[in-house]
Amino acid sequence: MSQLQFELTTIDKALRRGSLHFTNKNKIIQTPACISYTVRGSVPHLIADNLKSLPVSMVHVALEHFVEQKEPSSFKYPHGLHRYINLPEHLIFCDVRDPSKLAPASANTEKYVAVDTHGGVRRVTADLWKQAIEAYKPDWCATPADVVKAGEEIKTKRIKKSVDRTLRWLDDCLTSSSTAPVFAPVVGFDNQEERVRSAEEAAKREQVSGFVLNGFELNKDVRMECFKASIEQLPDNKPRLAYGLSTPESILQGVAQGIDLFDDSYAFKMTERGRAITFKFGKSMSKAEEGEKPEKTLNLWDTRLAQNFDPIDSSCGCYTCTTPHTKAYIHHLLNAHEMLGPLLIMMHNVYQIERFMGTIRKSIENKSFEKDSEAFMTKYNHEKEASGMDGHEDEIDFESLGSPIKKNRIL
Amino acid sequence: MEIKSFSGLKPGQETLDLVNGAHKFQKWNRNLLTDSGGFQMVSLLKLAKITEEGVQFASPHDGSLMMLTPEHSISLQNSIGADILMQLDDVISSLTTGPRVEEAMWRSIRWLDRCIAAHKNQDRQNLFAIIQGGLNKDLRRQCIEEMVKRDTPGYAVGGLSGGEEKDVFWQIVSLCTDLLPKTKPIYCMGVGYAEDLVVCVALGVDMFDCVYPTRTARFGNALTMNGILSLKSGKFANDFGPIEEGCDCPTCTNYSRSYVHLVATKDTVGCHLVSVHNVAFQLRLMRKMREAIIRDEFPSFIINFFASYFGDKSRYPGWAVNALKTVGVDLMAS
Repeated sequence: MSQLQFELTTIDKALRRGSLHFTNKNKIIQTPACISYTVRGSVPHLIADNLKSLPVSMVHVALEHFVEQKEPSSFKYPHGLHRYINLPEHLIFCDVRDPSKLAPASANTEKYVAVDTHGGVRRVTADLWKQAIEAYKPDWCATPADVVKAGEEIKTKRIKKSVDRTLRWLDDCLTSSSTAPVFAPVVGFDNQEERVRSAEEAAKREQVSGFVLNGFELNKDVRMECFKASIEQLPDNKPRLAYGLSTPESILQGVAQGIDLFDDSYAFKMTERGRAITFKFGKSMSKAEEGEKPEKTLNLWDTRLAQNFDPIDSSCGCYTCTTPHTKAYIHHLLNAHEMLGPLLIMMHNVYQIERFMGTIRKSIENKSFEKDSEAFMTKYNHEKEASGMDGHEDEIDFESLGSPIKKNRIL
Repeated sequence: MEIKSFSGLKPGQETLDLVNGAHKFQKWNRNLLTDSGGFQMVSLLKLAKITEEGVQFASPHDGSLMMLTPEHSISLQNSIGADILMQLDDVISSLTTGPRVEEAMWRSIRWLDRCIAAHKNQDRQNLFAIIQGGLNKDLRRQCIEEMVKRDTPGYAVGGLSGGEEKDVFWQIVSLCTDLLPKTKPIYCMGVGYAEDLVVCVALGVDMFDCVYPTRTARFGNALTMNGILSLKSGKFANDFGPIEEGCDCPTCTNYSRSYVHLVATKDTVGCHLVSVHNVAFQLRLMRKMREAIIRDEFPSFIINFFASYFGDKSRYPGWAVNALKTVGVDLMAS
């Protein structure tokens, strides 16, 4: 029996509520859920001690972050990835690409996925993947996908190749001696037939424990349709993970379509823009009011917060809000370009995404998901969040350091 | 924890007054110390000119003339609310020579008096005097004689760590610790490297501050009892031991040199991991010195420290050997 079992609790058309059972670790994860984004094995800005206080159970580790070294030291480390990155109590999902973006790299070939690193392009072959997974011993993983980036001119021939390659690599990787459960990528770009073929074929591999869809390969306007074409071919009793659906709006769309797992890179993206997540969902969201639609996040670079001595959110249970650190202090840290600023914001944002997923699960249980989603879309401003730092000039209180001298002063 | 008052420019005096001080602003309920702003002023601002009134400078904002007076510095430090404040001193480069050195010394005494007069919170904030006089022993003696009369809660040795020869540096420190009252804390500002701390403690210094441990951490350099490790170096890529064997900081307990090498200078996590270790190192070094002093084993501590830290005797800094001889510790003896 695979170390990873999936149980569906409720299903209503495409909408699902379930749980992932990691049987050898005795851990159960309720879905829909988010897997926490990491860079080089750490949640950005947070060392393990910081992460401990957050309700995070699963982390996503991208192989591409570790292969800059031609002979990756993480492969040589004898105790497995959990200990290498110091997250022994967390569940680790290992995939090839960074889920927050599909960075352009050189073209993939029949034999490898090309990834860009600081040290140049690296080739992730099925063999390299097997080497990594066997050394890392993650809790589960996904095999390499030949994902073609949206926007490029893609011919049908190329799309067929991507489906074929991805399947071939899947079959090759399944021969690995590793016992880590495997998720199979489902590709096919925007070609209906190929998407169906990719999903059908992946579903035929019985030992596969779940499926991965990559939103980055599709333009936003056709994404959900394309996903649908694949999802319809996938068995209900295995979980689906999707990349490229990190905004709250797209998470809601994904949940409605039957996606069970997402990544929380939205938390990181907002942190990098100096923004704290403030949106709510479901029961804890207050009704929309007349007038301007509220933002989903708060810009902590805003000079109007310089003397606001309240926490970001007094109902939030994160370290930042329970200390409670104030908006004024965090604003000061950003203005002073101190690393503690992003650290405090990141802790808050990761907590809030977890909370968001919790309210989604409750909403599905209460059979009010559709209604709650509509209310969310009506209430909030859905424009892309600008970086809070744009146009910012460091605020320096010059008067603090001295008094002006009158012009005709005799010294 | 030390706050540079120059940093009072951010968030500003008004904000700090509104929240009742830095402890509350930062949510730090342990001790804080503030510097007067004078040093940063002179080293960072263009056209800073010292006058009897105070430090005259051009506002970086609009170029208009402004003045940092002893009164203003104390007012700002009162708002910040730290447990220890520093007087505004007429700080000159340790490489300055000529009559300016003496002028700065006497002026620092006059400014000390103005700081004392301006200090609003004598009952809960401790104002330290700063001994000046450059590298001139007579001037230092005179400065100490005068400042001790003001009977401040503590004394700092200022005007050093500015690039002067280390052999002169320690002699001035030694002179100050000889003459300053034994019942008050002596604070050597801007010190420093591990070997500097050990030597200065041997000479009688009680307190130090330095940006070095965290700054060097951000560049991937870890401080250990066996010297400094440049973790960016490829030789640590496959080193799966802790930064320092025996160190109980969270980084050494949980992460390998290999992992720190992977993230150093690339992710803020790298800065955090090494900073945590380096701060722990500083605290451990000071604690071990205190324990050795209490056990009356300080001389052997010093000898062992230098042996582990530098390895070969030929690498021992000459100034440290000279300084320690004067307090009865012979580093070169076999």
